[in-house]
Amino acid sequence: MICLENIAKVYRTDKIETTALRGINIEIEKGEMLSVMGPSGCGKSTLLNIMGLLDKPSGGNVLIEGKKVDQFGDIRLAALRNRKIGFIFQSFHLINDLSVVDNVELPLIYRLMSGQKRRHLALEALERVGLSTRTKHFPNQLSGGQRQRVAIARAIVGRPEIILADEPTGNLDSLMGAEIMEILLGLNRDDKATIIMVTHDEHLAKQTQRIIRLFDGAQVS
Amino acid sequence: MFNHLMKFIWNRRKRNLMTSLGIIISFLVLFLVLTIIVKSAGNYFKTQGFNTDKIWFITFDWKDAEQSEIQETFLQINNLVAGDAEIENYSYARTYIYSPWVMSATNLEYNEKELSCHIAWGDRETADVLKIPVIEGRWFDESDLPDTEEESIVVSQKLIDEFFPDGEGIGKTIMRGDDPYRIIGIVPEFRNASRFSDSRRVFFRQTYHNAENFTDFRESMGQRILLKIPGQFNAASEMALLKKLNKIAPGWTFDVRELNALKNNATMITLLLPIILGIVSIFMLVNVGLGLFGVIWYQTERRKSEVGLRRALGAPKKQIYLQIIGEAIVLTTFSILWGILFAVQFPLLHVFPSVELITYMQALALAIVIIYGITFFCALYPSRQAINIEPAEALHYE
Repeated sequence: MICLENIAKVYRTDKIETTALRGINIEIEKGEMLSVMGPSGCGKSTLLNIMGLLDKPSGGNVLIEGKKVDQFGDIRLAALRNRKIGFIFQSFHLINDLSVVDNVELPLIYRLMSGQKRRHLALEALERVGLSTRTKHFPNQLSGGQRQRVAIARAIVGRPEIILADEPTGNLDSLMGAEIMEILLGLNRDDKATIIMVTHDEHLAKQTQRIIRLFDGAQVS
Repeated sequence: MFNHLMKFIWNRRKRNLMTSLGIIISFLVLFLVLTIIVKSAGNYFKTQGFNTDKIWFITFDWKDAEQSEIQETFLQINNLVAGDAEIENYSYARTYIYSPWVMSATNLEYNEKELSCHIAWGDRETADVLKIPVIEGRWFDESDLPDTEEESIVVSQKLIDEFFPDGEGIGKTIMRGDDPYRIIGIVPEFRNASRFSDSRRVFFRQTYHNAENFTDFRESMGQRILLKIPGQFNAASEMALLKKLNKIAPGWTFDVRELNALKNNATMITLLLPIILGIVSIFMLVNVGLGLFGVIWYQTERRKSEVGLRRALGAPKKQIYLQIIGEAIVLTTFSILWGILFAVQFPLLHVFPSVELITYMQALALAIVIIYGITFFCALYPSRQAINIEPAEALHYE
């Protein structure tokens, strides 16, 4: 599903060169659920951004379903992100000026789809995460766990094959974290979604099928 | 996408309130200034009702001269002008042309309808000298005698339109207090203030200036003589004429000038208000533009993470670009709709009776185009900045 070949990422300024990633080789199968772990600053989020086509590697190749994406233009990359990938972030990244259901609809407005169908899919996604009674609320009227559930609904509304979750439970207490993890496990189990999750929580990581460990930008296991 | 934009702006309405107010106020000021400008421009292309080409005028001041001396002197000046081969015709038209600060108005009444009308003065030759076309009836002639029961007047079409909507005005008698005036002719227009001034309800009274009837001329005659000189009349000719005049009346002061020379001054005076308002509105628009630019830029900076999110969710750069410009346009549209609501009150309540509906419509259309243009221009740079935001970086921006 996703193949990273010898990925390197170097941030350059006038004077300093910082290596965020080097020699990363990962192959992720369709329907797999894995965790990326490592200390802060080891390159976990950078790796996730490269997998999510939000950032370009300084070296190496990214292949999605066997296709190299380094030559793709902005429009093709955007379409690939829109259709294939769903994102879940630690800080939720909900738009406070939009209601819950409008937030969930957001990925669908970049597709040619009727408003009626968008609304139907968004409500369906909210029902899956148990928030069908909060559709008209605004994000600041929800708890942290509820916000993350909205973010998950937004990630799955377009039925993507890949879900990238960057510390999805990082801002939640353990109970809510467990709830969110349960939803992610359910998506992997029932929908066969490929899930890559960055986490610091060993307990959560152990629930996934594989753990990739990074240290100083290098893959150590 | 459009629905999304509308919803987004609507949900942010409280935050956008001050920006909207700024746009609404600027829109209204611009609308009013453009109304004046469009009206003035429209007037410029309308007939003025006379022609001042090749017209010169003598102004004279008889100072403290006695009545008998003035009469004698005038007779000589009259003979001088009448005998000059270069002067094709001349007229004692007391009405000032291209002197917008001089106004003379009175109320006329017909059939219990009372209207304020401007008084103009002309003699039998005025229509010929100034090429004033008479579209119905006739200009003054020898049959219009002074001290008759009903004084003959020639009126402008606007006066006829408003007193006699059925169009039949010739021969009708209108009242000025207890004095009756009989309409003998109609001229299409007489906008003597400047080319930019409005159409007026004007009525011409006759100046009786013939040599035998100089009595009480301080009332009935002007201090100007208009001269129609079709040939070359240069500085030397002007000096020669002045010399002759000074010879007739050494104690008097004379001035000889071309009538068109007053045109520019009159234009400036008439346009003073639109020019001042125009400058004020340009400052205001620049302020609004800068304000709008600042607000859009600031909001784009503050919404970096949202831009990153939208990119992550599948928005291409072009879509982000359109989103930022679209938001500004939708916000402006809301503001303009409010502005229109206020603007339409001007024609509905006849705030400026002399402004026609079409003028308001044109000004409204222009104001809308200008405000949209400013909005678009102000949103261009911030939206270009937004598309250069790196999504990976922006998503870590709080």
